[in-house]
Amino acid sequence: MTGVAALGEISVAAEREARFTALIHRNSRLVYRVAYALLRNKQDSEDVVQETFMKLFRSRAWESMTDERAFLARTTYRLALDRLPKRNFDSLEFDVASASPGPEQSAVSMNMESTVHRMIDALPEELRQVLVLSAIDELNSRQIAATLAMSEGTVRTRLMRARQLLREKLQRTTRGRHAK
Amino acid sequence: MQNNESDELEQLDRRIDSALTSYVDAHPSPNLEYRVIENIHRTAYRKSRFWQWAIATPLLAVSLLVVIHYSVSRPASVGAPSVRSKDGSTQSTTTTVGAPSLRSKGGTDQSPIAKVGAPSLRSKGGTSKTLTEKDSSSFHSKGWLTGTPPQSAATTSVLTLHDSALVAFARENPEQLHALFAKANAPGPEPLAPIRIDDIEIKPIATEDLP
Repeated sequence: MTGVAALGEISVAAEREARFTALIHRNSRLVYRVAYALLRNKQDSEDVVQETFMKLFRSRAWESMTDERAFLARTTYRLALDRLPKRNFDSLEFDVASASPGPEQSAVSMNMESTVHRMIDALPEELRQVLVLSAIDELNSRQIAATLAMSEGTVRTRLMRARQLLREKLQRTTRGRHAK
Repeated sequence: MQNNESDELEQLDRRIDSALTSYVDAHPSPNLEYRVIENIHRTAYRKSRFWQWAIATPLLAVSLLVVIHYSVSRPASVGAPSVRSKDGSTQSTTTTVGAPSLRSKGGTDQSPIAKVGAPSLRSKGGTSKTLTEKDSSSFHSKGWLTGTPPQSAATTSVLTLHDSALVAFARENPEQLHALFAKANAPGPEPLAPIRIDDIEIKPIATEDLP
């Protein structure tokens, strides 16, 4: 290898590394939020961020991606899924009773937000994933569909279903509080 | 009634949206990006270092072999007394700068004084030992640099049968050896003077005088 060719190779590698660094700066927050939305654990989410970017850098797949947000969200989603505790993915049943706080808990927890958080946690996983991904500003419905490898129609249906379930549950909870 | 219901639904939606926003609103550690970048750099550097070594190691090995081959096959300096060992390699007692050099059976070069003047000895294992000034003066006192190697070095050298016979002859008959050297170095007979032929004049044959 001549010196000129070696220098050329070094400059290409440096330029590639600079582009990837810029990609990290642009998307690290999105990747973290996608991971956190699914895992709800700070340490695990940061690990997934590391893993996602490392995997991308090694595979060089990022150099040919068309929609980088969808691509990154999809990669993050798949890596986070491996760390997700196994839940009943098949069931679309939303066990309202299990999500409702007990009387003592209700008395202590006046924070409606945390109540809704618990309700979201109690949603079937496929509905929860669509719902939380839709809450991430950086992702539109097409990108969410690409992330979850499903059609946009399915995304919309599941989103409506998730919101409907949450509404019902929340309505019951607030009515119960008012009745007390 | 309907208005109340729709108001309630709107309120519920607002609560859900607000809760959802806070549900996904998480901030990574401030140095997460830099940790990721550092990890990637480290990985990339490790990879490139591996390739550097993968290329450099064979190159170094080849260079070393070339240097060893060159140093083994290099002829001894002119004027240095040399001893031929059993394996046929030449043992020179004087290096380029006059330092005596011994080559062992393995063909390694043992020079009490290095080419640049720093005295060094290379052992069988290839390790180099730098000699002190005391060692150097010891060599001087033993007559290494005057071209007369010490007896111990001569006796420890491995000679061929032919060489041994010559040495034995020289020890037993020094006078005869001197005589032979003297005869060999004696000046030869006077060179012959060039033959000079005077110019000859050849006259044309006179035909009138012929009978």
